[in-house]
Amino acid sequence: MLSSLFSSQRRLRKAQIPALAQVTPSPLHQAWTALRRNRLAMFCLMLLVVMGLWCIFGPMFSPWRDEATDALMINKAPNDQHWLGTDFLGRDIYTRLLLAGRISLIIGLLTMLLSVTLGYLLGALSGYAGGMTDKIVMRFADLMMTIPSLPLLIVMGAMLSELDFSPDSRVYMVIIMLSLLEAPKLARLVRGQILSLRERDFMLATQVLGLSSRRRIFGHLLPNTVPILVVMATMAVANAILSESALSYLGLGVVPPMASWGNMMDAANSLIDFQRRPWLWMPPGIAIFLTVVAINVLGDGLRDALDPKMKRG
Amino acid sequence: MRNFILRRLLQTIPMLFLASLLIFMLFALTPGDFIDGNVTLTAQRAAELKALYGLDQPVLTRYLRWLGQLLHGNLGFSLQYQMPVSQLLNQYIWNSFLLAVISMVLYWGIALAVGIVSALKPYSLFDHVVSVVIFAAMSFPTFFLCLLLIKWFAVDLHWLPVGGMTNTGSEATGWAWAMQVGAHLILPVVALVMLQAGSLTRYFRASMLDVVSMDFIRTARAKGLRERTVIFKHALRNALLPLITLLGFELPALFSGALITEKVFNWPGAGHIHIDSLAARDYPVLMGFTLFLAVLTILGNLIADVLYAWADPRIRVKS
Amino acid sequence: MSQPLVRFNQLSLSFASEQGRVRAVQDVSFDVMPGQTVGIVGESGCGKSVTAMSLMGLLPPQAARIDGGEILFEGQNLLALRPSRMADLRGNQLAMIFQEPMSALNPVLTIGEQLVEPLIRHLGDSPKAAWTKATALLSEVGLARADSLMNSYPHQLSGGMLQRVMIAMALSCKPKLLIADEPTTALDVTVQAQILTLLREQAQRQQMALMLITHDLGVIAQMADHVVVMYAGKIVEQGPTADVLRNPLHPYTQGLIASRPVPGERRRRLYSIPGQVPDLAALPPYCAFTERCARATDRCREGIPLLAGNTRQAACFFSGLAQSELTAVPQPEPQQ
Repeated sequence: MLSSLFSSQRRLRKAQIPALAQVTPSPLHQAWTALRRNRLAMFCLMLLVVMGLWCIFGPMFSPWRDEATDALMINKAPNDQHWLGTDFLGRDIYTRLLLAGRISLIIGLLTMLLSVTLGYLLGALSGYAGGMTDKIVMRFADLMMTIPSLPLLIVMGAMLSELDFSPDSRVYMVIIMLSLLEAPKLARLVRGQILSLRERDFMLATQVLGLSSRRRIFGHLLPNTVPILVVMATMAVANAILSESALSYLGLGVVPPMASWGNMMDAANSLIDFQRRPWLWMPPGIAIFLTVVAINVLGDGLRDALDPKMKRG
Repeated sequence: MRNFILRRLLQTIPMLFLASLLIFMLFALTPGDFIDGNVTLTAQRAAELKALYGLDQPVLTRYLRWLGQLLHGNLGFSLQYQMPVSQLLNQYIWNSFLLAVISMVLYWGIALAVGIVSALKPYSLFDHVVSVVIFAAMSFPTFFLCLLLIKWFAVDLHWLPVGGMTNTGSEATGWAWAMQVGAHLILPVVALVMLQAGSLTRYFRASMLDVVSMDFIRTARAKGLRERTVIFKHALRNALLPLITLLGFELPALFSGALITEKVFNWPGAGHIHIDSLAARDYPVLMGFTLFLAVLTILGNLIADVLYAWADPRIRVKS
Repeated sequence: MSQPLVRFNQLSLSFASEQGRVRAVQDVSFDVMPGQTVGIVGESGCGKSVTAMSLMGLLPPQAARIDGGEILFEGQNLLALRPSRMADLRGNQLAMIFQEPMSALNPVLTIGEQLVEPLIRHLGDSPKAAWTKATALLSEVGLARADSLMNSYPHQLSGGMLQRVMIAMALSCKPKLLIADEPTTALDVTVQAQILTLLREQAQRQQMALMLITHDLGVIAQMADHVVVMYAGKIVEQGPTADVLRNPLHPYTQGLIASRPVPGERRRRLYSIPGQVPDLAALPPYCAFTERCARATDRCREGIPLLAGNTRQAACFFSGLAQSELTAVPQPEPQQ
């Protein structure tokens, strides 16, 4: 059923008639080619992949373990042994940065997956079903959006501390919280898209052709939502990373000893560390910044590539 | 038009009730409260205090009592500050307002100016530089940007004060006070403007680009109108339409206080109170304030819809 | 012979595109005499709209490049004018109406606000005087209840009414030339007839030249004194309408005429010109119509036939016009 989203018929026909392969690339393929031509976006994609791999595999190559505290080496500036210096427990900042990256990036990705799945399902259901279902779902989404999100997140974060979750399970809770907050906005977007697509002539044509509901939804309607889905997903990752870092900075998201880029910046709260030891809090901030910039640029490039309307001239 | 407004107002009432319910439940169901935060109390004393403040009643009763108070205009009583919530908010909210309104004027102004120029010369050098700057500005985590600004301009260069709204221990009044506040305003305003000007500019630029390629702009040019007239009278009015709804949504932001910015800059605003109340679990304040913001959001939505209907004749004039 | 109001003299235009330079218009030369109605006919993409837009100076400067030639209006080369001078002429002595009346007006301004703009800008009328004049104009173009229309918004009017408004707006400063780019294509047939009649009446009344761009030969037959047939950016035939339609010299014109279904005629298949319009970015170095032409021979692949003849011109080796009667346009008088 999933393959029908990408039209296996087309692939079958292409296999049978080689000439067809040159003449008609699918819209997704066209978008990919367009994206490839956008050098800046491709650079950002590479950057993100490299960062991800570095965070995952980097710590394995570092001589320092996260738990390796060293009372003699506390608060040292960057040097040969510790590329980014050490913190108040003598832990190597560089390794910590990479480990924190794992957490922050994973939270970003998983939040995106969860919120996009939830938002998409809700929005699509709402948009296609219409009527009472639509009204209820949208009222609920509106309600969620009425309450300012950062305070709500902070409250939920405080609740987590109150309920005394272990640092590990906190990560999952953070993911769930962030997803629950993002999903209504995404649902609205998807619903809007579905509503406008439903009225288009090509959907009328599918009705006239007498296609089954299943074919109409999965073969025609939903594939047209892929562009907005892709763009939404990239934005969701960026948002998630920023939100998680803010929460963790306030001490309400990921808590030590587990490192995330946000809570590593908590060092800035002490005046001495802030003034004299920038290596403690600047690298995580820069890491977040680079990641989010790359995602934003990539997202913009994706939007350009997927937009069928001519952007230039 | 009046019917439209009335209808929308009626629709908001159930939303308000639902929002109040949601907010109350959220805070009431959180384990622990202000009394629990005070470890010096004996269990008996704690129980007495809770009974005094009605915190031992069942949830529904508390909700209804709270709702009743609300309808009388009473937002609650702060346990931490020992004063009515409305009074507490009134003390701090205007500081946030000052910060927000100055930033807003600046970043809307910048967004409009840059957006217009960018759209008039798309893909030019200016446009590309602007895009880069925008992406960079949008991608900073709020607190990181604030920290950087403080480090560079306040701590390292000593050009501007580190935080707060006035110099510590200052008793200045009148003009001297205004000068101090002005100096303290600069960095937080810069942070807020940097963070928000970007997305607004992109939005506006996209809208302008859309409008400038439309048929009626070609007609306006074909009439021989000056380019200035074509852009400012014909293009701008249409390009601003989608932004009008955004203006309505700015209403809650004017009073909510930029939570993180205020915390990092130690700005005595509503956001600061918010975070403090959270740490102390002073729920009356939290509930009252959150509800206040929810009301502003709903109101802002309403204003956005009304403004849009007023500005766009296609919606306003139903033939 | 009186001075032509507009003279296109070997105009060539190209656009930049991802596939390279697209030669939208090549060596286009024709005249429009004062009070004359000239029809430009051809398929989509043949360059007719671009030609008109270049006269009005409405082509985006970054995209379009003038490769050569000139456009003379009352002897003055429009292409050499400063943009501000050109803006003075537009809407004033040169007017244009477009294809889609529904989207041609600003949706957030009233009809009246938009009608008075050219009057105030070019004629210096006061807003009040302009409003009165504009209301009168609406009546003149056949719209009832002009007063309430002035205060209406574009979305409240039908396509036909909007096109009349556009015509009123174009005629408001009594232009010497009105260009109508497919003015009736987006309208119903009955409305079409009304609009065309209106155009002809106004042109006659004000001794105004009319440049009518269309793909519909019927409109040409009805309205135009002189017809210019374009194909792939070039003029392939031109001459007095009656002559060209009765006795087309170029195979393309012949094909166009043959493609029209004749009411009452019984046929198994309608005729259509075989093949497709060539890609303007990859034009062959010989006659662009060759692949689709029934009369093509090897001669046709040797070079590009020039537009030959005087009042009657055709660009075909087999037109019957001697190729030695070289290029169409008599050389312009030397300018001071």
